[in-house]
Amino acid sequence: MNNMRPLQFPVPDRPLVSAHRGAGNIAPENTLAAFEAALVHGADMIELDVHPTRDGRLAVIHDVTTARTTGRDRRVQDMTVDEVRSLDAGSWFGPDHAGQKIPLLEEVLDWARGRVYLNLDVRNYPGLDFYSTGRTAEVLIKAAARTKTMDQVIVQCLDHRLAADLRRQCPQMLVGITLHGRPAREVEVARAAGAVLISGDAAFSTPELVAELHAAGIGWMTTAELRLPGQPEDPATLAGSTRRLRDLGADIIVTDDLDATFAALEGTP
Amino acid sequence: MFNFRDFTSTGRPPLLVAHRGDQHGAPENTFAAFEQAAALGTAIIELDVQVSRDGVPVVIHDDTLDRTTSGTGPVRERTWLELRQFDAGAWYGEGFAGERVPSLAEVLDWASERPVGLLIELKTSPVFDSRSAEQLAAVLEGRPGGNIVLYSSDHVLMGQLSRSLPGIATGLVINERTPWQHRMLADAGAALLSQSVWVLTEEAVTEAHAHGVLVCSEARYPSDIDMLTAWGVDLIVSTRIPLADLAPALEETRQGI
Repeated sequence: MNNMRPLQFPVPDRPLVSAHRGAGNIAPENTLAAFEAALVHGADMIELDVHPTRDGRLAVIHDVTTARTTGRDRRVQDMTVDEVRSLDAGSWFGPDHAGQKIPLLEEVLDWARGRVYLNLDVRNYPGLDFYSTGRTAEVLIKAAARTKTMDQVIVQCLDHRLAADLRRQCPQMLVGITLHGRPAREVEVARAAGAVLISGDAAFSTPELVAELHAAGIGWMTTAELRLPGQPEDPATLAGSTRRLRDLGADIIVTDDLDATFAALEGTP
Repeated sequence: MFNFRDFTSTGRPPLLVAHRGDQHGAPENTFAAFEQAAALGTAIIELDVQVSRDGVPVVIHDDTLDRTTSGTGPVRERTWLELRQFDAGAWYGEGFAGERVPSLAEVLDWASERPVGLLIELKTSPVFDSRSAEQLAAVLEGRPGGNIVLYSSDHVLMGQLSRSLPGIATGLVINERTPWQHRMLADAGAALLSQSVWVLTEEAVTEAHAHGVLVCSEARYPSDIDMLTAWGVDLIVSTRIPLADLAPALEETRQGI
């Protein structure tokens, strides 16, 4: 069974630290190696990307095609799960990682049970040939139920209708929505989708916005910046951004460098 | 002169928009790229605006100078006089050496004498603060403005600008699929929806049109143009297909403007 505390927003104590595509700076993104590395480096949560395959399974990969991470330029939606599984998703990162597979969602859920929270970013683009929020919701719910990971998963939806469908089919499932830019009316937009979490831009993160969301029981997730827009590159940026996001009340800080983010959170401001 | 207010999408092909000018034939966001786009018959040119250190709205995409000019470092840390010194063409090709970073005012003057409309994206990195927004409004005040649309993913900023510049059409970038799309547009007084081809649906287009809102999206492949045309999208930004390859379509889309 699962011994993880159910996610609640606002989070108590310090923000949760989420590893972007696993520890993508240590091992090839969105592979079990990157997820293992994220755990070793203390991640509270792992952010991963989920794409439907041609035969209706969910593969863990960020891009629409497998070109960048496997060298094979095909769309995930055109491949069967066996074809996806036959590819090497590790060699591009380094010879030590040759043979890493593109994981299936259920495999990652099984691996993660009782160990770490998961933020599943569903790449459910309306342009997909077999776009259906209802069917994608069903597959996600079944996977979480079968692997007994419902309590540790939050499904992140760019497509807010998927969020609403997930909540309709399974009120227990936690969903977040993604918002770009500075949209205004964030609370109402989140409520309409049944979301308990909003993923938004660091540049538009303010204490006022986060306080408004928290008053409505909604959390704020954003990414610690490696470089600030309009500013020169500076290795201290990530630490400064991490502390700023903590101080304004962010619930989940997504990072590309777990060690630097934890060091910033533990050090004095 | 092109006027967005006279433009309705019903029963006509979409307008093809030149991304940063003729980005594939000249250095992006320079007069060379704008001239070339106009020469190819483009009705609408898309461009990006940020504000210099001393408050001049300038036309450049990245928040740093490094990729597209001879300068280095953040755009925001340079004054307009400093920005003028940099070469914005040589990086693209020797024949374009001497191109400069244009100011928005210069491009507005240029477009006012030609049959082109401008889609002007206000970049959000760095965010337009209230001072930058006032400086932008000062450049636009008193201009006829019928041939331009200002748009951005900062909906709060666009709401402010649509109130302070009632003569100029505004648009929103909404890059998520949300049932709140129309309310976002209505709140900001927006006349244009810009949505990524990844997120856009025919339903979203129909909904925007029902409220008199024009829809803009981008084509990466020729098949995208067919799909977006079938959905009734009004403006299609050609991001990856060179404008020169679209000459017949450009001619067709200009009919009836």
